[in-house]
Amino acid sequence: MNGDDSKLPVPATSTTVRQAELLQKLLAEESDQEVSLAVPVSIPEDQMSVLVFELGGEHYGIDIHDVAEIVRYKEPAAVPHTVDFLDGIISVRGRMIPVINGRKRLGHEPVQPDKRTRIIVLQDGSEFQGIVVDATSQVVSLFKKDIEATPPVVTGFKAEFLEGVYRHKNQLIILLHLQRFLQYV
Amino acid sequence: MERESSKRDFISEAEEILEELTGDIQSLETSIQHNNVRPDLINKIFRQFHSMKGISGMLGFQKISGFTHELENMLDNLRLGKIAVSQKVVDVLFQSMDLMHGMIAELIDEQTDRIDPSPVLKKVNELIHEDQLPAQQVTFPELDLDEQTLRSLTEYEEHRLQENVNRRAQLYNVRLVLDDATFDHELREISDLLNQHGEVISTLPSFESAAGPGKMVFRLIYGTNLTAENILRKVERSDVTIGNIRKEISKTASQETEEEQEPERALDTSLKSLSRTVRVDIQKLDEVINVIGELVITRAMVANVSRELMAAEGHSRLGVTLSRVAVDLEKKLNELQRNVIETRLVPVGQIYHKLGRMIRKLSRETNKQVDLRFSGEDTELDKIMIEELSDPLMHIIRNAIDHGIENADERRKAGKPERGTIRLSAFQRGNNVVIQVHDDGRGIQIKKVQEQARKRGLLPPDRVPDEKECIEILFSPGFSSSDEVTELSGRGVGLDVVKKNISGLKGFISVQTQEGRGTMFEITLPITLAIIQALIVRVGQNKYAIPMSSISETVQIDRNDIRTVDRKEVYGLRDRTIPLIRISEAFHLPEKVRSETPYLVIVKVGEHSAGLVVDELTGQQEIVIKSMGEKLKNIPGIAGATEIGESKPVLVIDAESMVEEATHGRIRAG
Repeated sequence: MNGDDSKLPVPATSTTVRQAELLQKLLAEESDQEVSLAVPVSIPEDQMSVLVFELGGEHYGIDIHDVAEIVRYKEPAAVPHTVDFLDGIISVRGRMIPVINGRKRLGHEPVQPDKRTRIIVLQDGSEFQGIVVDATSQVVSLFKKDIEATPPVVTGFKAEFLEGVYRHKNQLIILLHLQRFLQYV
Repeated sequence: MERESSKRDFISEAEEILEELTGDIQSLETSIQHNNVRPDLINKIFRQFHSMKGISGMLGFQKISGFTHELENMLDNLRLGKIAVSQKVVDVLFQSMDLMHGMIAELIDEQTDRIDPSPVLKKVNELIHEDQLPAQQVTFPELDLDEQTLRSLTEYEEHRLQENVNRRAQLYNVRLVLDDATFDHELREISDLLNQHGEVISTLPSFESAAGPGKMVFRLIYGTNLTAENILRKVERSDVTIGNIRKEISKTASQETEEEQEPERALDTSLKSLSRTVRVDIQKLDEVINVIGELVITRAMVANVSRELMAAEGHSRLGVTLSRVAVDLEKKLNELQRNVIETRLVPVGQIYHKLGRMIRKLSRETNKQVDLRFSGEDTELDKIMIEELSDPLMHIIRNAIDHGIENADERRKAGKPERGTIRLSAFQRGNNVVIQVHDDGRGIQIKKVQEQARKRGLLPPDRVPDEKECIEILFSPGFSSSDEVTELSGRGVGLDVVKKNISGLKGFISVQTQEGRGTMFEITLPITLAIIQALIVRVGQNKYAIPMSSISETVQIDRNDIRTVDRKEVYGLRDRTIPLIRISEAFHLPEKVRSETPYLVIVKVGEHSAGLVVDELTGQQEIVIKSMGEKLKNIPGIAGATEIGESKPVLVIDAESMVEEATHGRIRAG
């Protein structure tokens, strides 16, 4: 029943430019890790591609279509008078991007960034937003029907952020509801 | 009385026409020198004299209407090609302008015998009768035009057609099928487009029914040097068909290709020398400036690297070379930047004309006589700013006429000339452009302002503010000093909006007033918004950029000289005690060590000064202010972010809004 059983027969040439670039980045920066290459361009209605990243030992997933790029951690410049989980702003090729801390957002203790720490840059129209994550690991294709409801262990505001879970091999991927996760004033 | 007011209307309208005519006659003169007189220019001048004749005749100013009638006659001959366009004509036109100004002055002074138009009229008649060109035949054997069409051409159109034939232009019959509902708009669009590449000689409606219901058919007779295919390509419409109406195909293939490459050349031999300007979308310039902004940052990085290299290796050969390269790069970049920024600059005079018209209209409506004086119209400002500036300026001038300038009676009693004066001046001061609006009216009446402020609850009843505070109040939202709402000023927008607009342009506004003598508004703006000078400061671990435009000076002080008033820090700067604002506090930064000898960055906001306390001044730099996105748009005290060639971006401090937060509260709290 799991999505990993279905290898999608998609020719490499049909991979969109953005996704190809993204994968190259993933490969280049995460060469010590296994990276799934099965990112089809026209993902069928009933499927999705998910970028998997780590936060506090857990695996989280977001739709790859929302991802503009992944950059190595760089220290943001602090911005006053805003929410506590906003680490500040970074500049990516001249564009100023506000960066929130994934751990703080979920109410976890922040950690010192290390060489695996990444900032995932998300794009929504002309607006950009970064998330500091412990590491990015892979891109996984899955069938939407295989997404399970979040087990009722999470309560409070955090429950809102979660879209569901997906079992991939022996990993549990927690899918984020990005819109709610990123919402703050 | 009725007649008085219509006379006033006439005078202001006539002045407007004359003003425009002067410009047009000047262009006519230059175009004669360049041998590229455009028929539409002569037409325009003709129409202006025509309307002058019309309005003066209607009001019974016979001297003016009689004179303009003769001139109109001459211009009609001119546009029909019966008289040659020459310097002589231009001279006569200029003399007529002087004469008409004189006749209008006569009208104002209720006189009729000062000006004698007969010498000029004599010249006009000479031109009409003696410089007559031989009459041209008006048949067009070489054209494929039917009798009916030829008969429907006006004399002027016939003449233009002849001209085009003489010039050996291609002549086409352009057939348009347009929608009933939108034909007027579309027709104008197409004609404008075609006129850029030739001349639409005649527009003839056609009564074909073939086009179907709801459609209208037009035929344009069009003279041009374009080929039919090129016309179609330019028009880019499917409902256009083109037929050639020249019978003979006299052109050889080689000529045809030559014209393909240079379609405009034959039309206008001097076009080359005139069209040395390029119209550019301002957005494209913005892009270029953005790239330069990035280069400025890269340059700063190179300079940093060279410094580090020298520090690490001493004065090694590579280090010295790199630093020289960095300096060279800086020079070239500055030059490039200056050049690009210059392309965005336009003279302030552009808005003067607009404002001039408005002032005349307003003075008419308010029954106040106002003279207008301009200076510094050549002062240049960023195009975007010029556009953004016209509303605030209009508002200030409207206020000056409405509240400032008194009516003639009052002025006479005050011993002032009956006519009020508004002076608009612009000049450059350092990196800024200053625009002053000065009126010699009654000045701001501080008492009235106080009353009004109390009425609006902007001032506690027991508090007597000084003049400065009163002026400050003028700029607060919800304040309008006029007792009754007038058509002019009662629009619900006050000086607070003006102030907001100006700060949006990174500028500031101040007021000086003297009761009975007048008021002066002074607007100070950076020359361009694209790249600004900023002071980089350090506060604890963080660096910030403060735009130089908001800084009046910097001083290093001893922390023991800081005093407090009601536990708020102040500092005695020369003869004034100014409030201090600690950036670390305003931004809630953890503050471990307070510097013994901090620096004060003195910022001036309107009438107030305040000192921002910082630990160190690290240098001055050109920066590009960037947005931090929608979510971080409205953070108080922050204008945006920028890069200064270091690993982290730095925030750009909006000094005005930061100081305002501090001082406003104080004024309101009393």
